[in-house]
Amino acid sequence: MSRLPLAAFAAALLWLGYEAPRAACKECGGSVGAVLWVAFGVAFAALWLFHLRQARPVAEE
Amino acid sequence: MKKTPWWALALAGAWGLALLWVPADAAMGEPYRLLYMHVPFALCTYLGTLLGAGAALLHLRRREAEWDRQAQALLEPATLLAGLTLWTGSLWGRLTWGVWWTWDARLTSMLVLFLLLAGTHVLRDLAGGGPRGGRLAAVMAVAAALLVPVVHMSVYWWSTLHQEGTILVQDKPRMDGEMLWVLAAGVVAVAWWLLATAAARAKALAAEAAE
Repeated sequence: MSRLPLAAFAAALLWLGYEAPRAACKECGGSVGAVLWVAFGVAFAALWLFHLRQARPVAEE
Repeated sequence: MKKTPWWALALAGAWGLALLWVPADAAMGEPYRLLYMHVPFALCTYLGTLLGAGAALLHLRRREAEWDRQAQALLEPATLLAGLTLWTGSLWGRLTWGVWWTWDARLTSMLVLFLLLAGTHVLRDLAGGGPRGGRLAAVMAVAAALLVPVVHMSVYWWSTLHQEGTILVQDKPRMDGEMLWVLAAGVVAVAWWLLATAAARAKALAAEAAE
């Protein structure tokens, strides 16, 4: 699988992850949804980047 | 074009379900969804630490560089997972308890575990790598592994703010079925990431050693 469809899929999920809690929680506006959106996105990116770093040749470190 | 690792697809699927499909918790509301990151990170920190310490013990016993590389390859992602466990826990604590940090037994013991794991890499570097650095790191990895049951049992042994176990309990898990399956999928995906990342790192370290 190429990376582009997965990136689009992840972006769609993250956007919906922001919208769904915002729609469900009228009192807290979008703040909780935004926190979840950012937290899941940052964690996913951290895992992906760390995996790429670990897989590269040691000489490039 | 490079291929997407399968663990990434599994993780995107598990976290997508966590954000979109499972219902909000009746007591904690939306912030509880952080559980779908926090618990897999914590359980896989245990897994990476125990496997890494197992490889470290074999290195101490047999003095084979291959086991040292395996230990290093497992302990590096375990350290990241411990840091992510602390970060997601802190965020969750801020949303539910109102504080970023408290010196609770579970939080403090997890912080010590993170520092021990980070210490394995610091010791290795301070010793200039090589066999001595590997042995020093291995001893600290074993110390980190001995702390894992303490971290897990801390919520039972001491009176803590952190809630008791939800998954690894003697009776039935204290979660609704669909929540539990999504959480299990997240644990499998993060464990997959851990093992794939460790395998890639061990391969890179072995290639460097062969040069």
